[in-house]
Amino acid sequence: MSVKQVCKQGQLKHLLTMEGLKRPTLEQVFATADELSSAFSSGQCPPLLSGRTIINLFFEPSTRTRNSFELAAKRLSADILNVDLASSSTSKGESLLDTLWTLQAMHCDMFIVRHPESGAAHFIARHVDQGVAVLNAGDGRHAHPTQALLDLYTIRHHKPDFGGLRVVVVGDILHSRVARSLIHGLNIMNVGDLRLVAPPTLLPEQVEDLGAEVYHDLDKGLADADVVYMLRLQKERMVGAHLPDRHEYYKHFGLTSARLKLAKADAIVMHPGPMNRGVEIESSVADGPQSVILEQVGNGVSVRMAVMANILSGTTS
Amino acid sequence: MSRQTFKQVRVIDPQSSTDQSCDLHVHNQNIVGVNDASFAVDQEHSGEGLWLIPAAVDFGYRGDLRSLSAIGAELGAAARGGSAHLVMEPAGTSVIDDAAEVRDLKARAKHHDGARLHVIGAVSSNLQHRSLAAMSTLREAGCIAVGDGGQSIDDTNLLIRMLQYAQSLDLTVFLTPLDSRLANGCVHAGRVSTRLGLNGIPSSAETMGLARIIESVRATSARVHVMRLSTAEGVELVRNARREGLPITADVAIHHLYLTENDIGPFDARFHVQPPLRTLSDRDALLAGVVDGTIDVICSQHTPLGRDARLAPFAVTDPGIAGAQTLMPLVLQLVLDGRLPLDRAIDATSTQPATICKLNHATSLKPDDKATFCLIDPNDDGQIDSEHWHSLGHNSPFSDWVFRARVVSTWFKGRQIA
Repeated sequence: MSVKQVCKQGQLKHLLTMEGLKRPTLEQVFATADELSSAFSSGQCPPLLSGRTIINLFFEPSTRTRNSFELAAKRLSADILNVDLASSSTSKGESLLDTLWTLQAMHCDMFIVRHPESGAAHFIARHVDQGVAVLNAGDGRHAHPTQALLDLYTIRHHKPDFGGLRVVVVGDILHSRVARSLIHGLNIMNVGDLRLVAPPTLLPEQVEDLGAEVYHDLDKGLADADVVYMLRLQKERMVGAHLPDRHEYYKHFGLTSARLKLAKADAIVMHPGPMNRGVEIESSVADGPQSVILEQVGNGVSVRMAVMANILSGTTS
Repeated sequence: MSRQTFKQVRVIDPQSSTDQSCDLHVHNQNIVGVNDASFAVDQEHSGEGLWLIPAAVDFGYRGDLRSLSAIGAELGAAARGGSAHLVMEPAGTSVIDDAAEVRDLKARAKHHDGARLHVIGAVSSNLQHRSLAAMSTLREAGCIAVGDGGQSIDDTNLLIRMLQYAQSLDLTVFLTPLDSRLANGCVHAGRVSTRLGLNGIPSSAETMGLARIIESVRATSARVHVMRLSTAEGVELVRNARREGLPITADVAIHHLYLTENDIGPFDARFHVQPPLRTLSDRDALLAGVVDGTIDVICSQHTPLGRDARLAPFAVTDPGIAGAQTLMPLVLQLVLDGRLPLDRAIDATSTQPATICKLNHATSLKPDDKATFCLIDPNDDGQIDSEHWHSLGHNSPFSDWVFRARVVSTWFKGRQIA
């Protein structure tokens, strides 16, 4: 039943989750991203995926992630098809598989999948033909591995010694696939100190077991941080059983420039986007000198190119 | 006239404190004696190396009434799993709130070999839990109890009225220990739900529901059977309630005595069950509850599903295990591993469920008792190969296990049903 995302030789076959990956696999992605990024900057991006077909299979609305994947595929000369199923009623299994098999019959090499259900990417990986790769672009609350890779890649650029870092992740951990993948990724990189800051209503059960320390007080959590990672608060969570309202959330968990002073002077500020200014982050911080948020976006394309190249270079066209 | 002898078989009957190797004689429907050299026999069965134990009564069958042409396969699966009786619960679209439906079901089941079918009726009409079902009519149609169909009755006022009404009819009420507001999930709320990003059902969903049931029993003195305990805390609540003398019985599904949340791995939907698989310490507490008798009954909660029910991401799949055929192999594995005494295993699969449902079922193996039993090979170490898998549901994580104990045959009133 279970799908292996790394084969015996250490080659990445699928990318479904950060969990279980080894550091050399990540380092390999970062090295490839470095190479491809500089090749692109010098106008000589190699057509590594020429003749390969990649399908962006999105069962959930997304512009940023889908664009990032599309651009990454195009820069490597792949043929890419965008299939947007977010608006259709295709969310149940049978039709999901029908969709998959129909597209597979057109001979594709890789599915990039985003789906509102946790485990959807694993499910699809179990049912694709051998040799077809599945890349998880976000499944429910479970995982968003390329986001974690681009986040780590960005951190590495500014602060390469992970062992000496204090990273603070702030916000809705409960519903966040970004947070789950980042926590796994940081632990793979042997991060020195990982802190999660959130109200108890936005923390999943026994989250400490993933390898992190939990804080409910942002001021305490921020002390001497090297990296401050703010999570997006979904609109539907702002009012209801999780939180009273967005103002109270901002008061306790919003990153203001005054609060940021509690972190180290050279701390970097990150966010997976899209941001809610004035809810989780103050504009002056989002656009300030410590923010690397736009850099994350740029790195996203390079890292996604690297992941696609690493997976598909292990197979023949 | 059929006269049969089971030669040199180890007859184990906790009720009559029998455990002896002997020749057991059956005449027509009844056991007539042992080691009688003068018994004239038509047919001999070798029992060498085999156990002969009372057949099981399996609770928790959740069948789809729309596809009941398949019921023969499920009754066959139950008999292959060592059960002479399979008790169907209302669940999902199979609401069982109508007397004609019950009669039809029972009539259809009669045409099939395999285990005998018994039916629990719905406690509320259309299982909506808004008004009482016609319990008296359901009882007349043959329902052996009434139940909530796996959906907790959130309206406490209605719950109490149901218990009072059922009590006046001398019906046991089968209830689900659940606070539905806390049950919006598909796995145990804990390490695994957090890791996989799946909605969790906390242990408190069970204990809050259970506490409400216990208070309602205390208020009414009605007889309640609590279905499918899954948590250590739940076992403790039942233990205390029984110590107090409240008329509460309870069961556990056999898979909860083996599996935990860790078995789900990366989204393996074979392990999607309701209530969810919980932690190692819950599993151990459930087994301890069976051993000390707090949990009266072990059942399979047999839920055969079509292939499509599992072709989806984990949370969207239908929960359940087609477990009838692996009931006694799994229960006896606990015995052979020294974790459950054999007499308790027989009590929990035969005597107690028969008593709770007031079945006219032979749970002992004395002369003049009905010849309803199964023959077990305790040294089999084999698998159930797919051609001998009877259930139409293939949703089982146990289907490829190697079992030490195998059900060789099952007998109902002197007739072989598997």
